[in-house]
Amino acid sequence: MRKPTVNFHVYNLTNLTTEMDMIKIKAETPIGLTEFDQHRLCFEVDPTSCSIGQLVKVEGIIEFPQAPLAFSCLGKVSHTLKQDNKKMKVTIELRSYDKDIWARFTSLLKTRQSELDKVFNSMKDDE
Amino acid sequence: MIKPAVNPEVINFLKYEKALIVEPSMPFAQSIIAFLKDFGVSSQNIFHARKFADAQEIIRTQKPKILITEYALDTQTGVALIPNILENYEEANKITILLTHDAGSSIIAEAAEEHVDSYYLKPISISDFSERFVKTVLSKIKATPFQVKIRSGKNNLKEKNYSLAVEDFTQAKTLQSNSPLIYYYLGLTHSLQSLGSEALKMFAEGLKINGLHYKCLLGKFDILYELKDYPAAYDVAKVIAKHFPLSPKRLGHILVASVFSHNLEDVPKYFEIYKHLEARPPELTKIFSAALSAAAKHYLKINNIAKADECFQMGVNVIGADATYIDMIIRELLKVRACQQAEAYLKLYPAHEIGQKHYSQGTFLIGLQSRSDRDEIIEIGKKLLTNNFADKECYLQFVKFLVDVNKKTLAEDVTTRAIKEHPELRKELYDMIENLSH
Repeated sequence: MRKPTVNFHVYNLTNLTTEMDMIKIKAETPIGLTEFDQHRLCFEVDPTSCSIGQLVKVEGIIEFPQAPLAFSCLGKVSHTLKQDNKKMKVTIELRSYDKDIWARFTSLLKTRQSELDKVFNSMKDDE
Repeated sequence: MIKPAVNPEVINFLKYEKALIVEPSMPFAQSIIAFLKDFGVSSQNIFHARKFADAQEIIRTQKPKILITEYALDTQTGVALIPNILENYEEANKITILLTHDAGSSIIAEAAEEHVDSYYLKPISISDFSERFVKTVLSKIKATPFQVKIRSGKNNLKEKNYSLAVEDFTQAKTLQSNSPLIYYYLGLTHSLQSLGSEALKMFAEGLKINGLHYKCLLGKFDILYELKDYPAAYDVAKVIAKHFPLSPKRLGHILVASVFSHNLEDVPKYFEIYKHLEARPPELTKIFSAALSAAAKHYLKINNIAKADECFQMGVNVIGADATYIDMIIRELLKVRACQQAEAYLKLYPAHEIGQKHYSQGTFLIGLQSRSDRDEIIEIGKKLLTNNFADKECYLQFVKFLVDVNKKTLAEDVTTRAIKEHPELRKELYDMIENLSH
C-alpha cells in the first residue's frame, strides 16, 4: 500500500530584521525540504532571496499522515550554495521553534525509514 | 551544509571510485555530491545526470561503480539503470542506492528484486544517510567468509559453472547452517539447469528454516509457474501477496496463476494493489483486464450479475475506455440478459467512438434486447448494414428479430447480405426464415 509522503513544506520565508517576505511561494507549489536534522533544515530558493547570517522566520506545513500541521520557526541562515539551475540551496539553523513538533516530524521520518528497511531487508536477505 | 560523519576505511575505498548521481532535482543532487566529496570521492569522479538516457551514456563511458538514483526519472525508473551497472561490475562489487520520496510497496518489491543495495527516503538526514552509506560500502569491502562463499557461488552461477557453484554453496552451509539463503541458491542452481523437482526440494528446505523466506517463496513460485502447476503456484502466491509487497511483474504472474488455478473470485482482490502501483506496465494492464473479464464471466456463469458488473467496471478502470473491451462487456452482459447493466457501458465509450462500429453494434444489440420501439430498431439495424458495421452476431440477431416481428422480405434481404459476408451463416439464417414461412 502506498504510504503518504511526509515532508515539511515551506510556504513563507521572512527576514526578521526587515519583516519583508524573502520568497514568493505559490500555494500549489510549496518548497519541500531537501535535508534536515534535529536543529537544521535545507531547501531551495532563488539566489537573491537571502544571505548568510540573516535571521529568518520559516513558515510552512508539516504533512503528517493523519493531519497536516502548521509549523513555524525562527532561525539563522548558516549556509548557502548556488546551483547551476539558477537556484540556491539554503541551510537554516533552527533557534526558536516548537521542539516537540519538530521531534515528532523527524522521528516520523525515521520510523518510516525503519519500516521500509524492515520490509526491504526481509525481501533482499542478501548474504 | 550538514556534514556527514566520515569513516577512514570507506574513504580509502572511495578515493578512486566513480559515482553517478541520477537526480532530476538539483538541491538533492548538490547534497549528494557534497556528501560524496566529504567521503573522499574526487570531483572528477562524480557524475550527475538528470535524465535516464544521459545516465545510461555515463554508465557506458565512465563505468561508475556507485549509483545513487531517484526512482522516478523522465522515461524510465532509476532501478532500470542497475542492469547497465551490472554489465560492468559483479553484484557484490557495485553499490546501488535508491533515494526517493516514494515508499510505495511496489517500488520496495522492485528494488529488492532488482539488486538495489540500499533504499533511502527523502528528505535526507545526512547523519542517517552517512551511517547507511558506510554500512552499504562496508558490506561490499569487508565480506565475511560466508559472504565470500555465497558471492563466489553466485559468480559461478553467472558463468554457468554449476558444480562449482554447488560446491561454494555447500561450503557456505558449513559456515552458517541455518541460513535459508543457501537453500535458495542451491535451488536456483538446480532451477537454472531445468531440474525443477530438485530445486523445489531445496526451496522447501529453506522454507523449513524460515517459512516466510522471500527468496525461497519466489523460487518455489517461479518453478511451479514454469511447470504450469498453477494451483500449487497460486498457493505460494497467496503467501507472498499476504506478507510482502508485489512488484508489477510479480503481480502479473500471480494474476495469471489465479486465473489458471480457477481462483477467479480472488482476482478483484488485487485491484487495490494494482491501483496503488507507482508504475503500471502495459503488459500488466493487459493481464489484469483479461483476468478481471475472466472473473466477471465466472460470476455471470453463477448468475451473480452484481459481482460480474463490479469486475467489468474494474476492468474498464484498468484498461481505460477501450472500445473492444467495452464491446466485449456489453455482449457478455447481454448473453445473460443484463440489459440495464450493458446499457450503462455504452456511456463509457470515448467521444470519438460514438457512432463508430463497436458503439453502433452495442446500441443495436441493447436495443433489440430492451425491446425498444420496433421501427426504431429496424432503422438502427438498417443503418448498421449501410455503414458495414454489422458482424455475425448482429446479422443473426437482426434476422431473428425480423422473423419475430413478421418482416419476411426484409429478413430475406438481410440474410442475402449476411451470407455474402458470412457464408457459414446460411443454414442458420434460412432455418429461421423457414420457420416464419410455416
